[in-house]
Amino acid sequence: MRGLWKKMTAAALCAVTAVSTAACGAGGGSSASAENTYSVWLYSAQDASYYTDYSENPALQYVQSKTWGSEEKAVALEFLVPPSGSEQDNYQTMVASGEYPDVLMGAISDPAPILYENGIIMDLTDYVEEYMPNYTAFLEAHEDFRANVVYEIDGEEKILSITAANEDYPYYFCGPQYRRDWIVKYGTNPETGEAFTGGYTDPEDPDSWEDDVVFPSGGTEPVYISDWEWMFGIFTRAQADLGIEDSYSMSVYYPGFSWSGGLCSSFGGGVPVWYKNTDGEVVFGGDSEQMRAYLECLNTWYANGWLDQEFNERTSDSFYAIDDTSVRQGEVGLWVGSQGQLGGRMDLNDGGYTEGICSYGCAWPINDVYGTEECKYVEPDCVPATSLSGTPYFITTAAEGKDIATLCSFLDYFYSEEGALIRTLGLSGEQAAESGSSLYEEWGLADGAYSVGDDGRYIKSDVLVSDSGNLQIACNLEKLPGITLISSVDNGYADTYEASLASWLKYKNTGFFQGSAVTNNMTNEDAGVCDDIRTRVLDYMTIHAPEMITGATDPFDDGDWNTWSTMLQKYNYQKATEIYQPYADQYTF
Amino acid sequence: MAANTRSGYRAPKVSWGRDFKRNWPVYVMFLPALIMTVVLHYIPMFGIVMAFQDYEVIKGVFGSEWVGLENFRTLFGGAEFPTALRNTICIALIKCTVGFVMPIIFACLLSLLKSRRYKRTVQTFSYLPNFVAAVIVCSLVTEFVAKDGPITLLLSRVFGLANQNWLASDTIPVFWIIYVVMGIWQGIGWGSIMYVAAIATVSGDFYEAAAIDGATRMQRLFKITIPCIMPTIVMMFVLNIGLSFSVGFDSILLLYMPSTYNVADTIYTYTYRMAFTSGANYGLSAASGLFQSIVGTCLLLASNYLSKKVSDSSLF
Repeated sequence: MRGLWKKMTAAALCAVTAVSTAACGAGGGSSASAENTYSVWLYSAQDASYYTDYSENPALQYVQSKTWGSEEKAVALEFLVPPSGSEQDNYQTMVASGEYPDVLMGAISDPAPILYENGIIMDLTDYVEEYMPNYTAFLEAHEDFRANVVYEIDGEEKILSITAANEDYPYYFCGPQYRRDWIVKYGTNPETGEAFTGGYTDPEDPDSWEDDVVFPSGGTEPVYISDWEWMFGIFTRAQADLGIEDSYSMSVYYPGFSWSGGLCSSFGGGVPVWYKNTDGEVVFGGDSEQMRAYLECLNTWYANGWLDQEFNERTSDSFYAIDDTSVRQGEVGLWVGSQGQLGGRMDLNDGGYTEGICSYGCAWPINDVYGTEECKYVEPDCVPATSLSGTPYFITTAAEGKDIATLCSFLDYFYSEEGALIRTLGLSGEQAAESGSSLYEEWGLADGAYSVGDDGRYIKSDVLVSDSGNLQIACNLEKLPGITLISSVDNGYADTYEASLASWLKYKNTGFFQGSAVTNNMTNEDAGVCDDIRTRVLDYMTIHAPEMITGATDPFDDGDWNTWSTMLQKYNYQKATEIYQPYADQYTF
Repeated sequence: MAANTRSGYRAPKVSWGRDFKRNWPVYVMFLPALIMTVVLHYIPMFGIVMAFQDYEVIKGVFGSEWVGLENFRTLFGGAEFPTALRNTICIALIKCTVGFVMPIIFACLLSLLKSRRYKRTVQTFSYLPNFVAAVIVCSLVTEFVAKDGPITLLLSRVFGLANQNWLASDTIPVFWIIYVVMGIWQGIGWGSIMYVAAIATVSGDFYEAAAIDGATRMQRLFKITIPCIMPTIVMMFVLNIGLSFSVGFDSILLLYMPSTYNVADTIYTYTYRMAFTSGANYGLSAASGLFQSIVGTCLLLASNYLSKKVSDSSLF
């Protein structure tokens, strides 16, 4: 009897093992060998609403079911994701202990030359040339992308990363936007004095706004600082009429400036730190006439009550969500907000201040009021902008014993149009069915994540367009390197919505180089010196710029301005300027 | 041992091996504590060397460049360092006076309560804030002293003070008071445990005799309770002084803003900004930590010495 039980138990265990193994296969598990199984460190986890392990991604399961390289080998990826909030610690521990994954997502890593110099990552030049024809073609076709990938080390050009790329410059996720409906309701034509007319043509469509608004500069969009000030006057009238207490026209980031550009570049260009001017010279803008004009402008706005009177107290607000509660309640006239706030999307339909709201995006203005002549009528050249290059991925020395050639062939697929499509939008209906994953079907994407339009562009599925969660990220493969399709994809945007997004990219960033190839190629020593100086300079400005704006000190006063300049000079910013110059001469961004 | 010497008695000399053989269970019980102390407290001290290096995680302690006192020069040479030092000292002083006395007063008041059930209830409730995370306590404080916060409205309507966000005030000593009061609210219950325990050890005979002699409750408090728990108070004071220079990092970081750096910036927060705003400067951070540890040790030794001199009671 006992023998029978033993046999039955053994048979049951075998059955369980067999079913488990079969289930792995059905889920798209790869038959990859150990040398073709690679660990990948990802900076952030996926949205757990869809799946908890990135290896469950249907697009990944689909590509893992294929074979790669000349030897047609299967590839399997195993993902390591640090707990949210401990990414930096996790990375530092990894580096300090020497226990790296095979592939390292470089979102928060040290610059590639430093990783290479310390023997952490591999030189991929030969592999890329031999096994990555699509990646090589993209590198050759895009010089500014190449500058972020190819490094000059000991006189030799080396490719150290497989970097994610954008097919074209994508729209920026946020930018300045204003209450267009208030302009229509409370403003008058600056030339004729007649009231504006306008409104939604379709109450159900948040992008169907039409009006006859004209700005003092003559166009239908605000272009100059004087246009913005004209709007502030209207916003003040609107807020008074609506009875909004403690109101203000515009919010500003808590130190009173953004060191990476934006509004402070509107006063003759540049940023309060180091930037490359139109002559190719690296310049420190903290004590420039442009910075003074900027502070004079904000000082005036603050005194007029146009600027948020408590801006310097909102230290925990992100730059794209300052005083978010007031903005979402419709109390603010102009703010830096996200794409999801454009048009009538913030209308709460509760009879409050958002009733009938229409938010239009606009470009950063050009100064025509404050400072010296050199500060006027110059387009901003340091603005938050998007880039062709995305996150770099490194193959570490931990993968030296593995089949790097096949891995490169696999990753190169995502630089082809077919692979880039999967990476950007996800799978077609047939591919989804082939992947073995039920996620597409569960979320209403049985027909696939896209369709192909008459013009050959890929039309994003309506399910993805209307999704307010992270379904697209769950369906595509954006956490792996490859090309993100931009111009080839029809996102279903309305004209007014797209015009707002386009206005945020009206001016190109040609000056601000922090985080670009210029600083990524600096030696550790040079970067350390510049970082130290920048920390001190920014610390001083963060403390004292709000004083200039609120009137505790006066930017119009030569004595106060000289104190500001003298203090900044004490931090020896000239030294950093000299260090940056040769890098800025050598590298494009 | 001293008493033994005075009475002329000397314990017979026993070799270590013999003593171990006889009392090995005691040695075994001591071993985990020894290992823990060495592993967690002494081995990490090796990290002090980072204070003298341009430390890089990638290169490690042995590969990083030796820079001598450069990190200390950078730390002390910063324009905002004197302000941070002043604020640290001032906050430490307030904490060591007002902040230190409050748990003692609370413990004494508890000892005067007659109802045991009420006493225990009050004690339990007073411990609760200690278990609330700093980020939540700071959020509460931020809300309470905001422009439309209840405390601000109270101060404004009852005392006629300005209706403002008090955390944004750079007037001395507004921030210091807010910070210390927050610490008292959070730690008064927990901090009083030692004193409540000390008071419980005071013999009831003293109180009984005093009561028969007609002493009031306040007289019993000042003439019996406080003198009896004085050694505990001194011990806690000496320890407090030693730690006083390590003025809170997380709370201040959550409460301060650039416009109040001149009153709220402490050595910890200043070091954090200098070391970790652009990249990570572990050397500077280690230098700051070492500086504060040395100052803390000096204060500990000095307060212990003074305590010995003044009250004949000391920690060691």
